[in-house]
Amino acid sequence: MATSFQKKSRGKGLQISGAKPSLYNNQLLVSSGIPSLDHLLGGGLAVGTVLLIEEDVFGNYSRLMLKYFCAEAVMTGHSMLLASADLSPDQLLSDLPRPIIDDPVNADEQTKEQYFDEHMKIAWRYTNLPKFQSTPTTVKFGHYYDLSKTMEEDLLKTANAEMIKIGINNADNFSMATNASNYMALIEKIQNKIEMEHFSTSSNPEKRNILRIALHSIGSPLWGENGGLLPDGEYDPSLSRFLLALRAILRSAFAVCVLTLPTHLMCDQAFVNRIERLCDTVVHVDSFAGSDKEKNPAFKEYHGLFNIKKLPSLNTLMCHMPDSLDLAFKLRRKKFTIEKLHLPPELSDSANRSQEDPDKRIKPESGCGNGGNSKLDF
Amino acid sequence: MFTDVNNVLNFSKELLSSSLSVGICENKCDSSFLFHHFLSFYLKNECNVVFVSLCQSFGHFNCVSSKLGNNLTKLREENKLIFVEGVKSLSQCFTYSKVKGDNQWQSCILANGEFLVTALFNILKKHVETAQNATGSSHKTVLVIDSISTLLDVGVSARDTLTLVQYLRVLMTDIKGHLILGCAENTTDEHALLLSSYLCHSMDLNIQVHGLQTGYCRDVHGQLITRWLQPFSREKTAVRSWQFKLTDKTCAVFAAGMSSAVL
Repeated sequence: MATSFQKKSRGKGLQISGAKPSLYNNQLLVSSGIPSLDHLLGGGLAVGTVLLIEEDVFGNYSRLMLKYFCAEAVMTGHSMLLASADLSPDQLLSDLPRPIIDDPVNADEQTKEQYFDEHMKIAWRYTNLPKFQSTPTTVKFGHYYDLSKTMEEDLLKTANAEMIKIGINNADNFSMATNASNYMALIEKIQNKIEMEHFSTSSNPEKRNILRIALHSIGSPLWGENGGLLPDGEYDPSLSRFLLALRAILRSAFAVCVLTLPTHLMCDQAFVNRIERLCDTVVHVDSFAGSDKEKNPAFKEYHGLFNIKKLPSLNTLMCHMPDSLDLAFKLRRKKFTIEKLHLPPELSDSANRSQEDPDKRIKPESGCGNGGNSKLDF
Repeated sequence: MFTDVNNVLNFSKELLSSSLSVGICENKCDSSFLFHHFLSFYLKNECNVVFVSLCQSFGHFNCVSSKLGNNLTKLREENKLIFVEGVKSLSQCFTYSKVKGDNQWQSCILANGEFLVTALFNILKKHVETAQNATGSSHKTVLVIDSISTLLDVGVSARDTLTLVQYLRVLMTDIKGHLILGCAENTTDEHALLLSSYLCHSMDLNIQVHGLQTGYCRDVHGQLITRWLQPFSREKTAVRSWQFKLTDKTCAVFAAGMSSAVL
């Protein structure tokens, strides 16, 4: 007997490789290349938004995060637009980390077989229970990368990347372009790319793709930026205008932008606040390298602090909020993890690490007792 | 429309008979829920609304409003709502590319890069007039601008922005309409402070949305300080402080320290 019951094929409006709809709102998300960051931002970067990474002092970790973002573009087949004034963008691209592609499902099955070949001795009643797959075989979202190797050349060749080198235009002309002209040229290039390659929401190409825009160290002196001030000390709105235009363009396009910005070089906090308001998501990276915190035993586990300053509320009244906004990151060879900052357990003999006297010799001997170090002495 | 917010602000239909100006200052907290609230309040009361968004797109407002029970696309077609995509128009003033379609806002920018607020005022005035004529004068006209601080960000001087605000106030008072302006308050930013304190002193109702001093909290999302100016009585301004918590579709407002998580 024929049944009228049919499996309903869900009307999937949009299916783009490397993108998934958000669980909270209907936003399309792409991975930032760092799975733990995706998790913190509510699943991933929403398409059509700008992520601002405020750089650490040496810019190492923020550059790394940008590289992860670009590497993810190569892995998912997204188009890419990379602009930099500091490093040449080609150099940045050739230095991407190598993805770790071991199929977790296969590896799991192998170990399982090995495991079940052994005869169960203790929990023998469970031997005959059906085995179930613990890793769901859904579309993979986000990858892990091995930092000790660079990405294979033939994989890099598949990338659809456009490089823009900012700075001195031609060697004979030593005059630097002004920041305003740099920004305007860039915004024009972005606009052209979106129009020419049909990333805009109004166009209708046969195969939708997503454009990833990565801007390295924008607003550094190499871009001609002077911390939001004109030479005569007046407010320079070029960067704000650029960000506003970027937002306007991205809102009606299948594109997502990550930019790193050296806010520690800008002395005017008001200017930094304005920039932060013009970006959708703002995170701050603070490395321990070269600071006192490097030696602090409390931070032994981590490489730096990670602070979420702003999260976007898109299509919803309230935004997704993680448990904590003050986090820390650590860098392993194959993993960049951002997690809640946990202080290590207190195991040492001396009670308070911060109050510990660094120089004991200066301390005057106590009046009674023999001046020993035992805590029982009065 | 959040009933809690209405109760706290003493906002009701009676207010629609006279003109009113509301200034909303946000500080380390997102005040966008108030704009969603006012938008749905006025649309439900059949006012003609001109909404100028200088920080979000129409899609965002449409999505949130549909959750609150308003279909903005439909209202827009019926000319009950005039939605101005300020982000797009304003940014097109500064990018020197060829613009498809005519953007009225282009007239705000002079050849030497100077921004003319009088031109912007004329554009807004035209929108208000179209809204007023759309369904006759029996309905109230409301002008909402969600973040006027964006003008400061793109390089309009504080003095020009204040002039614009003053002109808009006079315009809306003349036609007995309501004016709602939002701005970002920032103690380190001289110009933004000038603007927010102006709004604080001149508007009939001032609402300040602050983040908690102790940082983010799961159960209390921020502080709401309301200030009704009483120009005709010699009483002091009535300042009241509240805390609020947002959920997916509602906003709960309660006295400070009276969060349901505490009690």
